Amino acid sequence: MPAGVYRIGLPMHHLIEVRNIKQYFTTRKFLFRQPLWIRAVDDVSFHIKEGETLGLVGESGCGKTTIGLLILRLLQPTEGNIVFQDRNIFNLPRNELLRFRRDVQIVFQDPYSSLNPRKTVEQVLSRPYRIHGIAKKKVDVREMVESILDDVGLTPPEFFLNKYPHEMSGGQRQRVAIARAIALKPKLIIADEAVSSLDVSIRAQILNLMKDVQKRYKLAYLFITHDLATLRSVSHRVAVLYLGKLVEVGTTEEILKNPLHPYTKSLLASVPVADPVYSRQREPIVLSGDMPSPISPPSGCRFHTRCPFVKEICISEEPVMVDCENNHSVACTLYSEELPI
Amino acid sequence: MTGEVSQIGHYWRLYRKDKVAVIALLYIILIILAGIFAPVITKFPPLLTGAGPSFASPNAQHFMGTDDLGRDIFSGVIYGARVSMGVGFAAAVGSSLIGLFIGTIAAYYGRTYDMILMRITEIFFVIPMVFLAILLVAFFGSSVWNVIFVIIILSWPRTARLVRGQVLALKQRDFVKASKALGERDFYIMFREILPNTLAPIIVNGSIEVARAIVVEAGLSFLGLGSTDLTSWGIMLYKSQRFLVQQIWWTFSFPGVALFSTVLSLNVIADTLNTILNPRIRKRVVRQ
Amino acid sequence: MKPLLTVENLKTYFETDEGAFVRANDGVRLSVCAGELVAIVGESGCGKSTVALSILRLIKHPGRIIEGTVFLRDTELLKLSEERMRKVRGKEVSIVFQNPVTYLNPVMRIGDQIMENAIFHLGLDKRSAEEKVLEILRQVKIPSPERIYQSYPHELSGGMKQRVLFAIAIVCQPLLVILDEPTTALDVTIQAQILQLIKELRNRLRMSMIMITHDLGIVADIADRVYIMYAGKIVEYGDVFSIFREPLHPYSRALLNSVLSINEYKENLVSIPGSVPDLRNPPTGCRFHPRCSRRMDRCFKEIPSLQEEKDGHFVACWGV
Repeated sequence: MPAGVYRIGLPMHHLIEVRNIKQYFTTRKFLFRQPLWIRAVDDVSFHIKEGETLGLVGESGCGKTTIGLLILRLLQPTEGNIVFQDRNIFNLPRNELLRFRRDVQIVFQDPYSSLNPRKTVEQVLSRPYRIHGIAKKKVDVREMVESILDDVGLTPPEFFLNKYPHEMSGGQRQRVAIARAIALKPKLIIADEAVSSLDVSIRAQILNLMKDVQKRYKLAYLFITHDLATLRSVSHRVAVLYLGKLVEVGTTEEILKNPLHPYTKSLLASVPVADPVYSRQREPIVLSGDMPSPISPPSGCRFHTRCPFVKEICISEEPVMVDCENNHSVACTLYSEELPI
Repeated sequence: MTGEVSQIGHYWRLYRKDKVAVIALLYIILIILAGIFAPVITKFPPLLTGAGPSFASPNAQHFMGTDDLGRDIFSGVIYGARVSMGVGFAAAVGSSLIGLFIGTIAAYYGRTYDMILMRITEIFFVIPMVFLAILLVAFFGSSVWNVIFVIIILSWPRTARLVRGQVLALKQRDFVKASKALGERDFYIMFREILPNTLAPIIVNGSIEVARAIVVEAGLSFLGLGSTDLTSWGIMLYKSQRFLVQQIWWTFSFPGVALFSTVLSLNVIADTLNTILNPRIRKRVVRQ
Repeated sequence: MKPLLTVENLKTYFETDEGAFVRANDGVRLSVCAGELVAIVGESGCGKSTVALSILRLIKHPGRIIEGTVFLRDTELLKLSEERMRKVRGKEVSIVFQNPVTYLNPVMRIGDQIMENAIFHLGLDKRSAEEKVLEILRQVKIPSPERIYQSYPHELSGGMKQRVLFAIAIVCQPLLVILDEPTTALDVTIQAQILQLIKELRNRLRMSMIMITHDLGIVADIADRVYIMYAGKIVEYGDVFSIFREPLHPYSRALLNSVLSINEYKENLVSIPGSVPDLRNPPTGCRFHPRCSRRMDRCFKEIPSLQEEKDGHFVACWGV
């Protein structure tokens, strides 16, 4: 097999590498007006290893969902590329593209809109097998559908085959969405706020399922969320996004116990904790102002307009991501002076 | 499968609640049946001249009287139902199919496809109907197929625009993205994933289209552009135009009433369907 | 001290197409004292928003308040005429809803929308009303109030819009403000700002508040007393510290256990088996019994009533 342009000769120890991805959107314009650029993702790089869960955390407008869509190849990046198992996913030939689709899947936030309201569970779950030619006869397909329903805890499977989305609860729908994602035994699943719409008591159920499935299928997750509490029990590493840029990356433990970036600190301080004693005595870090618009992000460090520690230099210079100890990196001028020798 | 059937049952129960709508539906069914069983219902062929004396007023022999050439009006109305309804449904189905296809492609692929297809749609929107009809009759003679063709040509843009709007909204939904992520092909997504979710407005639009088509057919026939060897309500009105001034009311009243009541019933049905198929706001139980 | 608001045995049912009744509120009891912030917490479908709408008599067909009493000081709200109730809404009791986008008129300026309320209830002339509005905008910490006064809703961010809803709610200095999931649609850092605002308003203006939410973290942060709702009924209530330290009802306990915490790693997250009951046909006896790990015979047959177990801490459970 000739080494095509899409193969990159690096050793494969990262399942996926996102390299300097930029995604700019334009707004529709009238003929003679300048189009506006929405800088949804602005030079983001990270990697995920096999079987690992990376949490991608940020608030609305930070670009996390866009990154998910880029990895799924549902969008073409303005710049940069993504390497999955040593191959640049944006240069794949046709036959490899179909193979790629089996390897990367997604679970969306809203279990109601992520399932076709006019299709039964069986119809939805048959598609992955049919598209990829894994099973052709109705009997075989049904067998596989029932098996996957079992895997996600929807038992007895026969009971759910004929159900429509509106006949099921939010938790059940999300299980179907997960079943659809794991049907093809992917290597990476993007969970885009997968439990955010669910009730508190159901969240735990679904997260348990996802962890369970991860062990069994040896999956990696990109867990996109705005809720740090969810990540605590689910992800190995965490990357914090603000307005299209990564501000901090590290292990979950490091990030939660020792947050470095002021934004990360304020995120942590703002997460409500279900303990009245702790909650009322902890230091609040309330940010001033609103999230700036991604159309005209602030100059220099994008966080400077709301940062409690802002300095002169933050307004003019964009901070670079610096490695600190314990596999912990941060992009903030507070730390760039303390470069480890 | 059971899910689909119970859904239809549910809609029927809702439809039943509106008595007027039920009457309208029964009336349309009646008209259709009358058209189908025309030879059984009436023994006079509609275009047979001299079936009875000229200008006979309604009597036991000829329930609706006869026209200037002794043709039985009742037969005309019953057989005319075939043509009017036939043209109505054929044109509505034809234009809906074309509009559906074009609207979906334009919306799904967007950008250039959308722009080109929408410009084409707009061109068809502005073609004057009568002009086109006259041209066709001049070149191909007057026939029922010409009429159907004209109506289809002029009606599909309406459906296309409607479908385009629906598909534009639906293609942003997560289940479409999920299908793409699975590697589903475009045509499957367009016609097996998205389209079934737009059935409600298409059905409502379809019923309105039938009513419109019937009216257009009547109008074209009334202007003399209709078929010469068949009869329809519009054609009957065309033929009895001259008698409006005179008191020979049965030559135009019966076809006129048939036309009016049929179109009215279709509109009532469309309106009721709209109420029950579209977000049933007032029927919804308030959620937390 | 007599409470400001007392709700007793509130029953609000909704009729479905098929003629069944969804028992959204089935005998709800609630009280709020002056200056207190009471939280009603529960998961989706438990009926908490319906309580708020019932107090304000905003329940429309196919819903109906079947039974119960709602006393605001000495006035029975459920017995007032619609005309008198209109004077209560926005003036004595007001509400801040969840999604500011749908509750602000997109074609009216912000200032005018707030002013509407002031003029209707306080009978102010335009000049004084304008000043009052600007003052209120300052109180809810909206920067450049004069500019915002002239703006339209779409020009504001989510957090700002929510502050405007607050402004509308407090411009007439109501006795009681009901907050229906006011921060659910907001980002975490903006939510922190709004919660801080709520605390300030409560402290400075001494307003009584009812906060409806599903987020136990928010409850822990700002509530004085907590009511826990399940399937249309209040299952437990009491002082916030008491409830969190020792939840007595199995549902409360399970709920608190299933909350994810950033402070501790949980290998196996606890969840509640089964799902929320259908309120058209709720279980007999205690509504939680099908999912309760400690159910007894009695739980199937008899509905437990709220009993005081500790000082101010009430629970409805046969197992206590």
